[in-house]
Amino acid sequence: MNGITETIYFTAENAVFYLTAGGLIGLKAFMPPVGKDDLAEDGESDNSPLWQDLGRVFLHRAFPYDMPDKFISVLDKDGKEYGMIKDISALPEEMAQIIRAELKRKYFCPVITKINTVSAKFGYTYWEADSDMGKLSFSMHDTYRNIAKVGGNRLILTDVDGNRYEIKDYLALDRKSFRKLELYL
Amino acid sequence: MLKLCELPKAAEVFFEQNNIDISSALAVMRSDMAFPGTKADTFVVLTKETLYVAEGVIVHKKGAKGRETLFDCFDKREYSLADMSEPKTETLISTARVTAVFGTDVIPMFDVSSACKHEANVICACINELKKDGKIDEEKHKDERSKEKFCPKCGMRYPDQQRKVCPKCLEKTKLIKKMATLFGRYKGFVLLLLVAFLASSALSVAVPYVSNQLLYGEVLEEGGSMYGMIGAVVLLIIGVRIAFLIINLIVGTLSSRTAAQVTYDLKMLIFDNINKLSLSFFTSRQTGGLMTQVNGDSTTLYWFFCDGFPYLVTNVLTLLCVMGVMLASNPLLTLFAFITVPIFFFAYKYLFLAFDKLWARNWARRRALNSLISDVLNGMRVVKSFSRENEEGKRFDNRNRAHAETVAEAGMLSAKSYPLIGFLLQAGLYVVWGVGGWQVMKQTGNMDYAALSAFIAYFGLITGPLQFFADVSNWWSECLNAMQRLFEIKDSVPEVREAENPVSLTGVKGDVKFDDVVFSYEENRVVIDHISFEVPAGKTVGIVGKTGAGKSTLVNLLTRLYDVTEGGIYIDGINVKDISFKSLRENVAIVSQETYLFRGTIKENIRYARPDATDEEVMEAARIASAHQFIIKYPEGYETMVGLGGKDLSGGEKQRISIARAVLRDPKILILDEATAAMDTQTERQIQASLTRLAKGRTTIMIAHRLSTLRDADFLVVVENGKMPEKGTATELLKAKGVYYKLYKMQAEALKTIGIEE
Repeated sequence: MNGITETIYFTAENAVFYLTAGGLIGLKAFMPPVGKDDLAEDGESDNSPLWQDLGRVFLHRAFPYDMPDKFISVLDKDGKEYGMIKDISALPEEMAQIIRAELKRKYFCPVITKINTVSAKFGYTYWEADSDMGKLSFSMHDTYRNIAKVGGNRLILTDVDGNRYEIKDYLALDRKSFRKLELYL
Repeated sequence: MLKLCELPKAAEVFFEQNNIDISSALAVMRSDMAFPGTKADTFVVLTKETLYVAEGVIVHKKGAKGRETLFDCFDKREYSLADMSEPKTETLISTARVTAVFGTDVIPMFDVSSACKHEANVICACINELKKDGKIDEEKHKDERSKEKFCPKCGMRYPDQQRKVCPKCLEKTKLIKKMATLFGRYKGFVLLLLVAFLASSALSVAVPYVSNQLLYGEVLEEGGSMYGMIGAVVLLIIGVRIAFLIINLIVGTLSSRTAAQVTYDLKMLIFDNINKLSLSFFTSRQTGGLMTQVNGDSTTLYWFFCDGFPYLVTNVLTLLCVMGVMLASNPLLTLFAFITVPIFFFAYKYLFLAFDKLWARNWARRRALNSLISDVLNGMRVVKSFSRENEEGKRFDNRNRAHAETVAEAGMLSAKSYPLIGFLLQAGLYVVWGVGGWQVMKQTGNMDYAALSAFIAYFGLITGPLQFFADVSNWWSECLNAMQRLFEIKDSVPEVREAENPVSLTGVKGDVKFDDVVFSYEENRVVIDHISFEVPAGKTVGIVGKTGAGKSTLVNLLTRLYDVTEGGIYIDGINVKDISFKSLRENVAIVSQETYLFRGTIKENIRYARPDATDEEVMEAARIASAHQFIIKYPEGYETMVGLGGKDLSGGEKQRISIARAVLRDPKILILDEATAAMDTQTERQIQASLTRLAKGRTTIMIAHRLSTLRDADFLVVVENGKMPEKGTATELLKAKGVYYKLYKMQAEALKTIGIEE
C-alpha cells in the first residue's frame, strides 16, 4: 500500500523552518512547485522539485493526544497540506524548538495539578483548581460529556466557553482532588 | 467609549502613568492571556491612531496605605493603525490570536482565550470601521453587547453565554410562581385537593386516637365513659378507616388528573414553541438530547406534582397535627421521642451522597453499555464484513462486567444501610417505650397505658413524613432545574421572526433578487460574502461550486431558515423579511439533499405538501418525479409504510418522493438542492425532462456539483468559498476560462478517461 499517495515528509535535508518577522512559523522547502493548479493548462508541466520560500505556514497535529511530537501536518492558510513532519525531534534543535513553541501555543491547555473545589448547581459545575499556569476558575455544563478520556488516564475538560484543561493522570492526583473529580467520570 | 470590560482602577492608573489618555480611547477590552500563551491580565485600548496592548497581572499588595491593587505590567506594545491592515482573530484549538498585516508581515498583536473571542472580534471590527469611516458605530456594537455577559444583579459572569441564567440569583420564587400560573387554571381542583388533604391529615390523627386511646382508655377500662361498648367502637374504627380510605381515593384521583393535565399543557406549550424556533436553535443543541430533556424534565415535574406536592402538603399537615397532639398529651415524652431525629437526618444526608456517587457511576456505565449495544447493532454490517465479532464480544463483556459491579455495589450499600437508617429512626420509639413505660409505672406526667399506646401509634405516623423531609431537598433541586430548563425553552425567542405587519403575496411572478448578501453562522466566519444576482421570473438558474462553498446556505436564506447578516433577498421586489411565513413557504418549495420522510404511507408523505390534493394529483406528481414506476411495484403501492420502522427506501427513491412532494405544492419558486444527486444519470435525465416541462412559468433554482445536471439552466452562478467569482451562461463562462472552466474541464476529463466525450 506504500507509495500510492505522494506525501512529502519535511526533514533537515529538504526543509528549513524559520521565524517570520512577526514571530510566526515560516518554511523554505525543496519540493515540487507550489501554487500551480492540479490541472495544468497545457499537458504535463515541469514538476521537478526546487527550493522555494512558502512564507507563513500553519501546523496541525495529526495525533494530538497519543503522539504530540509526531506527524505534524504543515498547511497553507487555506488548510491545504504541503507535507508532514514525521518526528519533530529528528529536526535540528533550533527548528524543533520553534515548532514546539508554536504547537504549544496552538494547543494551549493548562494542566490541572490540584482540584480545590467543585460545586454543582442547576446543571452546572463550578471548578476551582491549581494548574501549571496558576489558579483556574471555570464552569462546566453537561459535565460528564465534557470530560473526555483520552488514552489511559488522561482527561481533557472543556468548559462552557470552549477552553480546555488537561489532567495528565487522574489516578495520580491527590486523594482529595480525585474524590471531587470521581463523581463526573 | 466602547467598554467591552470594566477597566479596573489599577489599569487606569497604569495607562495614565504611561501617558495614554484613557478618556480619548474609543474601545477597551480585557483578555485573560498573554504572549506566548500564558494566563495573565491583558488590557487592550484602542484610540483613533493606535492600539495599545498592556500585558501583566493584577496584584494585591500591602502598601503604605493599606491594601493596594496594582497592575504589574511585564510587557506593553503599541501598534499604529495607519500601518495596520486586515486585523483578524485567528482561531487556534481552544484559544485565539489577534493578528494584523504590517507591510508584508503578519504580526500577532495579542492573545485571547475562548472566553474573550467575542470582544476580540469586536475590536477587529472597530479597527476596520475606524480605518474606513474614521469612527466607530458604537450603537451597533453596543447592540451586540446587550447580549449581556454578566448577571445584572450580582455581577457574576454567566457560566454559559447561551443560557442567561445566574445560578446565584436564580429566582426560585419566580419559577414557582410561573409554575403556579400553570396550576392556576385548575384553581377549583387545587382548592378541593387542599381540603381533602386537610381532612386526610385530621383523620390520620384520629385513627390512633380511636383505636388506642378510646379503645384502651374508655372502652376496655373499667369505669370508662364507654365501658363495654365494644361493638360501637369497632364500628367507629371501621367508619373512620373507611372515611380515610375514601378521602385518600379522592386525593389520589384528583392529584393524578391535575398533574397529568398540567404536564400535558406543559409539553404542548413547549412543543408548540419548539416548532416556532429557528433552525439555529436545533443545530446548536443535539436534537436527541433536546427530546430526552423535554420528556425527562416534564416527567420529573409530573412526579413532583403528582407525588411530591400532595405528599408535601399531607406530610407537613400530618407532622404538625401529630406533633401538636403529642405535645399536648405529653411534652416531656415528645422531647425524648425526637432525640434521635437529628442523628437520623445527618446519617441520611451522608448516605444520600454515597448513593449519589454510586448511582452516578452506575448510570455512566449503563450508558457506556447501551451505547456499545446500539453502536454494534447499527454497525453490524461493518462488524461482520471485517469479522470482528469476537472483539466486540470481549468489549461488551468488559462493559457488562463493569456495569454489574456497580449494581452489586449499590445493592450491597443499600442492603447494609437501610436497616441501619430504619433502626435510627426507630430508636426514638425505644426511648418512648422506656421513658413512657417508666412514667406509666410511676403515674407521673398524666400517663396511663392507653395514652402511651396512642403515643406510640402517633410516633409511627411521623416516621414517614420525617423520611420524606430528609429526601425532599434533593428532589427539590432536581425539580427546580427541570422547571428552569422547561421554561427556558418555552421562553426562548426565535431568531428568525415574522415581520410585524407581514405582506401576503398574491399573484406572485417569481422574480428573485439577491442583493449584496452577507451571512455568517457564527461570528467571524463569513459563509456568504457579498453575493448579488437576479433570477427573472420563469427562468432557471444553476448554482455551481465545490462542497462547502455555501450553495445550500444561499437557498436556506431565501426560505428564511436563517436570516441574512447584511444585504437583502427580494421576491418580486419585496424583502423576504417582510413576507409572511405562510405566503413565503406557499410560494417557495425546496427539495433538499437530506430527504426526510415522516412515518406514514407514501401517499401521506407526498400529500404533506398539500393535504387537499386529490389522488390523481398525487399520482401525477409522482409521475413527474419518476417515482410512480417504483411505487407501484410495491405490494402495497401508494399505501406502503415508509419512514422510521417502515419500508427502507434507497436514497434515490426517497429523493424522488420528496421531489413529488415539492411538485404537488406547485410553488412559484422551486429550489432543487442536489435533489437528484443520489440517482443514476438516466433517472436524473427523466426527472429533468419532466421538470423542464413543469418549470414553465416557474422560477427554478438548481444546485448541483455534477455539471450535467445544470445543462438546462438559463444561466449559472459560480460560488467559491462564499464568494461569487463569476456568473453568466455556460458558454460565456467557458469562454471566460475561470473557475467554471476549470470545473468543466475536470469533469470532462473524468468522462474522457472512461471513453465518453461531450
